[in-house]
Amino acid sequence: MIFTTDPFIAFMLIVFLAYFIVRKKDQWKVLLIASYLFYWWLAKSAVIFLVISTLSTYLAGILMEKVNLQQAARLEKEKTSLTDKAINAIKKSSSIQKSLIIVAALLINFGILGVLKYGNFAIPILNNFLSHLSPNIKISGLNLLLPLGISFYTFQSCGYVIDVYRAKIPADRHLAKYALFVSFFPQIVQGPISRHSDLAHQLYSSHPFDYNRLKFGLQLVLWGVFKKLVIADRVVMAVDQIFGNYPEYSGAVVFLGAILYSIQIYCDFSGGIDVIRGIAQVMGIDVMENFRRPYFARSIEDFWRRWHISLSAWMRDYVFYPLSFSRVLIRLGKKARNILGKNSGHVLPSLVATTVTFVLVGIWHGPLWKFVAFGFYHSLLLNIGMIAGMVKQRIKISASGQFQKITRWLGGVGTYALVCIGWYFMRADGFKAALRILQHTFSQFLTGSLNSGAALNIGLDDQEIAVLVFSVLVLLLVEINQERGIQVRHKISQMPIALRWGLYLAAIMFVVIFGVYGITFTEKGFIYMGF
Amino acid sequence: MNTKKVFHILGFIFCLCLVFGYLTRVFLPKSKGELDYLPKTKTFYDQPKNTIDVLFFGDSTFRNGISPLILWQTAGITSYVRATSRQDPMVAYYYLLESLEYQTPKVVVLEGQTLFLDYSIDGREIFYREAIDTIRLSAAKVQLIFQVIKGSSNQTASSYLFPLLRFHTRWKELAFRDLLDIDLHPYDYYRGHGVVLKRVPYDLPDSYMAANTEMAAYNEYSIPYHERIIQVCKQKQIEVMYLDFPLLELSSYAKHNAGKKMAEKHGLLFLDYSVPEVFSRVGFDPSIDMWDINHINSYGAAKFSRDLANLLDAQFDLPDRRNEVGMQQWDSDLKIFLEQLSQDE
Repeated sequence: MIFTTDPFIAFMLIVFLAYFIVRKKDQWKVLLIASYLFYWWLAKSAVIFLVISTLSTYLAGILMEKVNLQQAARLEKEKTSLTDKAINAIKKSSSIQKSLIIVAALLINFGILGVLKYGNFAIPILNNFLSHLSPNIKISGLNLLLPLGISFYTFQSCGYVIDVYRAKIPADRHLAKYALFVSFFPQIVQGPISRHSDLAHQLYSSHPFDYNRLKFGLQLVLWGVFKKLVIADRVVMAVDQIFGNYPEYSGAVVFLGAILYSIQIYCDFSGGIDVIRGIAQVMGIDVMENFRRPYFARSIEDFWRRWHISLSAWMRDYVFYPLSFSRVLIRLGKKARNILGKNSGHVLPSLVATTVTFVLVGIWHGPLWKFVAFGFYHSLLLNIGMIAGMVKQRIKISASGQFQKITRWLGGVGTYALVCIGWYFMRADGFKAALRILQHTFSQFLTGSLNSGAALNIGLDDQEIAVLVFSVLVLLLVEINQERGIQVRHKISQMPIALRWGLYLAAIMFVVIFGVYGITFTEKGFIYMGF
Repeated sequence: MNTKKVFHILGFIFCLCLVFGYLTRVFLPKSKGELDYLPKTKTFYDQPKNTIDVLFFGDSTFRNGISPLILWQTAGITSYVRATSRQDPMVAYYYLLESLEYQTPKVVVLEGQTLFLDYSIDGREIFYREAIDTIRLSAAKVQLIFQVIKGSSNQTASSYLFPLLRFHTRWKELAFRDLLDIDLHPYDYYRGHGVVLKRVPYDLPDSYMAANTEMAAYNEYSIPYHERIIQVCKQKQIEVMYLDFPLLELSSYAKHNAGKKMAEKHGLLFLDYSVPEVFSRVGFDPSIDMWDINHINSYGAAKFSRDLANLLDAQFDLPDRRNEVGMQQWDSDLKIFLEQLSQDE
């Protein structure tokens, strides 16, 4: 785990010191230098792609704003003499210019991402297609390493460009400050994908040292390290054992493996995000929440409002909505309404947009069919949910009282089970492997081979299981309280000092002792750092 | 930030240090645990300043082969064996620097075998832990840690500075009594000698130390550290000598030749007990004086140490401290050692 290595801890201490020692107006410079040093340390020469992304989106923003200003100036200057037709012509001309700029910026950025991340995925497919045309045409494979965090910073900078295009935010005129927004070091490797309007002004403004921020920030860091080192890196031993040897287990045990994987991926990703948010909080910066207790979701739609929030929000704002309101889908909706009736016309564009959006969410994770399947599976669930909701509204089914509670609870359990099935695609080595494991799970749910004690041997001994169960219960307890609206850190800060310090010390020592780290373990990176 | 909050932060850090320090003591392997022969270094630090005249740096061969108490008994020489398992010349160098903060020895004795043995840092973590975790925090220790980290692909400085981060995995092995067993520094009666009262009979192999003119290849990694040790000692006007013991598997005449050459190059004395010609003078008998093929037991150590004491006494201007005030502890510790030797014989 990068955040618990000696160099990173030393680096952070120096950054904290420098950040609070320098003049307030220079704090952003400390962050910029730290961000580039951090990225250089991890990604070496791949920093060039970060620079290209920064420069291209920065210039695009400036140019688009210039077009806006020119248009406004011209309209203002000639407002009395211009006819409506002339005004429209000016607006159209500006719009075309802006479109060209944004298309160029998006092509550069998504082009780099596409070539580096998806090149090797697309080439065999292209070759397969080309081989039908001519057996002599063949594109050779690329041998490029994927720059760390490229999916995160590309989406973040492209989100900025789109916002400027839509005139939702003004262009950032300060190149160095904008470079900080794109490269902000705690979050560059695994998100969240922040919005310029949320993050930039915080990065650029000064932040005096604040005792409470230090306290709460470090608590969040500790909580993140707990989730990652104590839970995720422990449960992975069982997950690897079960998924690596699934034919030896009954389907029920393999499904338990999927449940354990759901814990692993959640604690791994959200643990990393907590560390990032905690570090930023110490420096007075509030990084957006990326998880909101996703396994408490009552539906798949609700799940995506709680899981990887920054990515789903990005996809919603920049893919789903534009697609839903695109001319093509509106036209499709109209046709469907004529043929299938009023409701279909309304729902069909949403179904198509959801499918496209979630297939893209899947592909965002990487160039593998299993990720495409993961996205498609979720789009399918969302679409079914959407249709079911429509039907429910139409036939006016509504639950009340105790029955409502039960249905809500069942909705939660069902959602969690469906999410766990989706994780098969994420965890398996490939799409076909995922299907094989799924088939094994359901065809041999209780009848799988139980010999050699394999059903009980899940790669963890009794003591490890005890630590894991205890830790997951602690996590559950905290999340139940959070779900009820209780701010756990604030609640703890109101306790008597002896109790509070005792709790902090116990938590620190628990992580130190029961964390899975050190020379006797193979270091586990963050799953999402690979994306 | 007001004063109250500063005190809060400092107070919390203090409590954290207390808890962390206590748990480090609980979790560190003790001498009776997985790392047998953990050097009991506190006894070295507790020696009155500038009272140790000879320091030995080497590996388990030195730890088993030399008894400072016998040197004391024979010639009144005060010495200390600062050996650790598989100690390489890099560790020896930093151990020397650390030792010089406490003592001003007149003679430093190095193990000749360490000129030839292969030392790679990866895969030898246990030996560096023994060497580093058992000494006090000092500039030399920090430098040694960073040298180890530099050459290692998976060890971390923090795990040496805070050993709990390394030994936290022992939580499964600990029992309730470990919570109370936190004495990491039991008294070392034997001044660095590892007492082994086991006899395993060995015959000298036919090919053992067959004379020839071959030269063993020096280990490239070792030479710079040997040279640094010699340089430091010269600066401090400390005599240096090489010493080797019979290792039935590892000793060779080629090593003897190369060791001798290195000693001559630096104008040092080279005493090689691995040469069979000296066995009769010392009284060494591999059928009763060894506990494994490359290690001498304490009975053998007593024999070699008597001979070594006479030689050191003859070669160097070492004081006989037996009549000095405040050295009674040496006599009482010697008594304990001799009793142990006689009980088993």
